[in-house]
Amino acid sequence: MILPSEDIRVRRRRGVIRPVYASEDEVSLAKTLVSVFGEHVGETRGDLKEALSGCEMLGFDYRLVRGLSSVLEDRCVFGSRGVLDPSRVRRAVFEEAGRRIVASEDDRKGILGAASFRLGSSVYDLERSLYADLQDEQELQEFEQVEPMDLLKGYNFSLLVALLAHARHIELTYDGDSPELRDLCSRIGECKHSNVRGSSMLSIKLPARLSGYRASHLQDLLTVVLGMKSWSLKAEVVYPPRSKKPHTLEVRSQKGIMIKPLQPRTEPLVEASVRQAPRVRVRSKIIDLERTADRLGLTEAEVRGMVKGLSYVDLGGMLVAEGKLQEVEKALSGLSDMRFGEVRRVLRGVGVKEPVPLLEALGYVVEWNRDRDESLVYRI
Amino acid sequence: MIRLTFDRGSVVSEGGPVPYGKLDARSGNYRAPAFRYRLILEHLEREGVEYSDEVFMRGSGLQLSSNIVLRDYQKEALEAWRDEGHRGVVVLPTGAGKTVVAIKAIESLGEPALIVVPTLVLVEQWRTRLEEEFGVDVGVVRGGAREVRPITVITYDSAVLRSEELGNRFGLLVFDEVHHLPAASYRRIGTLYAAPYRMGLTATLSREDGAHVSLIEYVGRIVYEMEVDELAGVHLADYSVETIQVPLTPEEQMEYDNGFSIYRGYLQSRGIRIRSARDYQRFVMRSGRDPEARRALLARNRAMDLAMNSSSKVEYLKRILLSYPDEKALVFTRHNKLVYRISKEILIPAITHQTPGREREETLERFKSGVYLRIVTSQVLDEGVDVPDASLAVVLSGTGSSRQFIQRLGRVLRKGEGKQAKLVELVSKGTAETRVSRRRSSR
Repeated sequence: MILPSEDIRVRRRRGVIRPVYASEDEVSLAKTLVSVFGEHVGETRGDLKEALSGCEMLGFDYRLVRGLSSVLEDRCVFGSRGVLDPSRVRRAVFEEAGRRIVASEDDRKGILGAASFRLGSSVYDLERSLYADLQDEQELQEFEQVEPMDLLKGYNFSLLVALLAHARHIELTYDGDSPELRDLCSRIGECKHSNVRGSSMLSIKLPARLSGYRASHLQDLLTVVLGMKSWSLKAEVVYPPRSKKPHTLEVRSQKGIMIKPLQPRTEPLVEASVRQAPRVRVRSKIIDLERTADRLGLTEAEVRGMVKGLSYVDLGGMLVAEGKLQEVEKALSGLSDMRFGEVRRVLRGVGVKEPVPLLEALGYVVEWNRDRDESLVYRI
Repeated sequence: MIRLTFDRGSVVSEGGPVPYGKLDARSGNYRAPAFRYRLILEHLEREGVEYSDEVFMRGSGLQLSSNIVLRDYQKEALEAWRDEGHRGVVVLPTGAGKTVVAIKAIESLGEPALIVVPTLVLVEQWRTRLEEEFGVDVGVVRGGAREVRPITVITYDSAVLRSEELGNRFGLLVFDEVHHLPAASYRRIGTLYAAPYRMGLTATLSREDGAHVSLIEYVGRIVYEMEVDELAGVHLADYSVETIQVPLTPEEQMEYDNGFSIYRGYLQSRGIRIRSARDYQRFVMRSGRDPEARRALLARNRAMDLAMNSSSKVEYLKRILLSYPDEKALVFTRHNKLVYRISKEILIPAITHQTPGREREETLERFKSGVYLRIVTSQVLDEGVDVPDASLAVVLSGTGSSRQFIQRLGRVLRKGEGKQAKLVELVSKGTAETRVSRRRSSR
């Protein structure tokens, strides 16, 4: 489980970022929250939310309360309370109510009774179904209990993963070698491995935006690392996302470390082994690798891997389908006037949306003039 | 000679400086925000500077005619707008016919016109109305649809996104619900379009943040304003506003007092005085790092929540509805929670932002035809939706905004034979909600 970005608690100072972990002092809060969830089995999500917002008044940092609640929510199963189609129920009830005014409980029961007769159901089912399509009306059907101390450790784990999800680069050092770790690293980003005197170092370059599946592998990676005897992790983290420069995050193995993943739910929704990379097909005939990778939250190598179906020519970061390249070159060779306005017009005519990067990739230079369209385009 | 062109929200001057123009060192040209186009032209004319104007993609002028006959005050509004050089804001109450003033403006000016509206529902309403009046196809630009015609209706969001492409295609901009324009995300529409003629329409211009002042620059000053009272009984229905102070239940009162004493206690202990919205914002920011402040803030919010959503109000609402059994009624609240509580307890159809679009249309249609006599809603029907006529509005809770109050009142003001509209406001007695109520109805 990864904490929502807005619930991350950190301290930043002199280029260093430190997560504000939950400590044993907060075990009373953990106990309270666990019991609130337990007591709300069979109640609506709206009621649970209200009770949790009350817990924000207990004198703890509200982001800690929300973070712990998020971790617990991951152990819940919510479901609809309705057995009938809510919009059908509403139509029947409000038609029955029509012009009448409900001034007493008897009036109300009378209308609901008539509507339930029309729909061939019980008043109980009718009432439960009336607004069953609203999120706040969902019922907490199951909650998997957890020990308060484990919750705090699980929170710290989720906090650390959430922060690492904002990393641009991670360096992981550990004793021995682990093919499992290497495999996980390669699923997260561009990974380099080195082994010096029995100590391994993995260097991972992460994309600017981490997709859900990649973040799940990050979670798996940290779980494996925490189970090792001796390790250290150093990351360049950009958090909050709008911050201009990265901060350094360092974590290392130590005795009694209060970071541990919560046991997954008995039936995990997705087995780690079957987790798939997002199936994206890059179809464009002109692909700017860097931009596409950034847009999709992938590495350039992964974008290359997704380009299928056509034969591409690599122009140094710009992939151009062979046929398209011929078309572009033919269009350019037919030009007698190599001013930018004309070149752009011709290139757009053959489907090039952004002419400048392509021109540069093809070895052209644009000598910018005051009037952009009058700028001279020539080949080096 | 100066040559004026349009480029991505700017008027570009080649060959010499123009007012508001900044030198683009790279090109050597001067760039000015597009909305200065008109002033630039006026300046060049005044100074006798020779220039060629290539800013607009000019088509032939529009030949439009409609059968609309304006009422006296609508004529006055249109004339005042013309006298101001086809610029300015017209402030008329809901139901007073702002749309027809704009349609006449489009007709008389004969310029390509872009009508900017805040909601998708309004896009359709405007398109239907314009097509009916002019008998021409009207373009629509919104998420998913992009059909530009000499008369086009567009959402505020799309108008921002499409400014580069549309900024020099329309001579007239009509801003419906123009009080949205000063919002940080929409203000750019005011600057990126070159349209020299602009009309703003609203029922209530003032914004709580005071940002409406910036409209003068983008649209022009208020050229015509008429309040509800001036039209009531003649062009709008006669109306009455009644405020009823409703006591909280004893349990609610106890909880309310407790919440506010925690809040006040905190402020006193820290020597904090809340005298303005800014002070309150500072307190909220403080609550992000100080758990005690957070506790005080939540205690206050809970107390206000109790005051706004009190059980007593629901009981009073039943009494009011019993007193007016045949009136078509709209019940307004501030929070969805109360909407659904009322809907479940009193079995009134609800409309909130969570209501599926089709169900909302169906509910409004049934309200119009009389199958339903009442609707309970939060803030989604305050503006931007054509709500069928009603004669009773019950406000259970709302913000301190006078605009919201006037818009809610406007929902019952459409003129009808012998109609006497009523707005009843329920306020929790002896709570901070009374101040909120005074603020909103102070205008």
